Amino acid sequence: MTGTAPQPATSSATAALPAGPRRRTAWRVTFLALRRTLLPFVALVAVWWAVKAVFGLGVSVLPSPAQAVRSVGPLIRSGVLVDYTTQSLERIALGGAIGIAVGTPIGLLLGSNRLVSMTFRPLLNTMQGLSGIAWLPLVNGWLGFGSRTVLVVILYTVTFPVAFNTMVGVQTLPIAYSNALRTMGAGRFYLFTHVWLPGALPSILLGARLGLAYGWRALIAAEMVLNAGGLGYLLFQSGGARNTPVIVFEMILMGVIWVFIDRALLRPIEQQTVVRWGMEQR
Amino acid sequence: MRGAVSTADTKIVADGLHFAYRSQEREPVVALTDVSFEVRAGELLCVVGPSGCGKSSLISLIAGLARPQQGRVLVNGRTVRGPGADRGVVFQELGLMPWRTVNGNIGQGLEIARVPRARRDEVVARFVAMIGLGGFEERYPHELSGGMKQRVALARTLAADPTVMLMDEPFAAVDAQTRVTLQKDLLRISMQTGKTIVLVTHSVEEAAFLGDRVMVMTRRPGRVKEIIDVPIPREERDYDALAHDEPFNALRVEITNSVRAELW
Ligand SMILES: Nc1ncnc2c1ncn2[C@@H]1O[C@H](COP(=O)(O)OP(=O)(O)O)[C@@H](O)[C@H]1O
Ligand SMILES: [Mg+2]
Repeated sequence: MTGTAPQPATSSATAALPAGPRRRTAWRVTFLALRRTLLPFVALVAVWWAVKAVFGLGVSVLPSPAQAVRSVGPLIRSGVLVDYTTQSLERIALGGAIGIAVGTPIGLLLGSNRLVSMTFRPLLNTMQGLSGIAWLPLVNGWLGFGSRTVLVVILYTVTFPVAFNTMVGVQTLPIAYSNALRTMGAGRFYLFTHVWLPGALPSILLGARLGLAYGWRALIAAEMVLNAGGLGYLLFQSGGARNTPVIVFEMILMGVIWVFIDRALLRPIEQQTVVRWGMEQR
Repeated sequence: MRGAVSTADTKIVADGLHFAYRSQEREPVVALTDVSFEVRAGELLCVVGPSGCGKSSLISLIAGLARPQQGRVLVNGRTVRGPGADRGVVFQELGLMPWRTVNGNIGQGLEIARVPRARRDEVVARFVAMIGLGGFEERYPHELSGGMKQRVALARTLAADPTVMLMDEPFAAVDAQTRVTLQKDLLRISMQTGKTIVLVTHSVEEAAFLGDRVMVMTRRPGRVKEIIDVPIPREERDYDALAHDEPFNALRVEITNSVRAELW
């Protein structure tokens, strides 16, 4: 094979540019992206401020952005914020990890066998309509008010979206992958680990993202009800005390933490796998 | 006659194959019916026929990825009951793993066969060089052009070293120059390795150029219409030389007319 010189499908034209202008371009792109990202948030804060000013709302109804931010001081000094945040993060991490670890093999199993998937799909679908919080009264009776009950609720909430999406991911995988490997002598277990698992990864990550997002919400709700510490409990306490600056601050914190989980955990995994393999779903 | 293959014995036997796709919702689609033929060891058989006549289905049956409802396929005298590493397939859709690099894809057959790492790397390096993809070893399929992917798929099957190679329109997706290069490579490899090859193509040109024999199929449900000998030794196959070769051109016209008669 000497006749044709191989050419990559994706040419990297920027690589030829000198370092100076290229770096400036990269900074500029980052700056523009940041500005675009922040714009809606700035707008939201502006609206918040305007509503408070126009209707002359007191702090017991709606705190100002400044009041919300200032409420952090005492929370941090007392150590409450760090403790409760840590507690919630530990719960979502543990529940999320176990949920993904349990949901993925279930999904692979369901996806790889038509009969099994046809049998269990209706059940799986039904369970998706049953929120984790709905289990709370029952599980609470079994395990009491505490971390274990919160964990069960998160686990349940994370497992089903992961399992369901993994199943769909395997079922929509082109048959050519497993056929190619079967003609090279691959057995079922090899296909499991070398086709279905990596092939379903885009869907598994999608399921994980959904599952963790639902799980994070369920966590807050469960903590509010359960009197078992965590950010949800803090929110509930602040509500009882009509401490609106803390309430609003916490709501912001929950959103920020979620973005952090998504950016720091899920995105890098995606970059290293799905995006690198050219399998991202748009 | 056909120097290299005339004395060799039979490698593949298709015996009265009948194959239909069945589903609950629709009527069964009969892809093949009453298909019988033989392929000699070391032979390169080309299969042509109108689109949808069951060529890919035939490849699946020989590969053991599908089972005929009637008849059977024998390879080395044994009935095919499932896929096996003795029959390698180059698929129309390629089926390269997007999550594996060029090296990873080419070495996968050896990995499945539990060939030790060092030996595997050696073989992979040899095939990477053969398909001219040096420098692209760590690239992923989506970073390659269509022709490069095609060559990786070919190398993957060759590296697994099957005795039978089943190729389903392997050069359909590549540009004209690359196609000619790949065809020459295939001829050279087939002479060097003595592999038995069944190659499906929609190009009469390609079939006549590559095949020891060309099997023409009828439109669906596919049957064997005729099998035409191409009595030119492989080492004499050269597009420039054959362009003015009267007997070769006559054969090409004969095959073209035979296929054309099957089009609606
Ligand atoms: N999975 C399938 N289900 C139902 N019908 C199919 C399926 N695959 C192929 N067919 C039909 O079977 C016939 C033969 O298909 P195929 O073997 O792919 O033909 P070819 O490769 O010659 O174009 C076609 O009419 C096609 O529509
Ligand atoms: Mg086909």
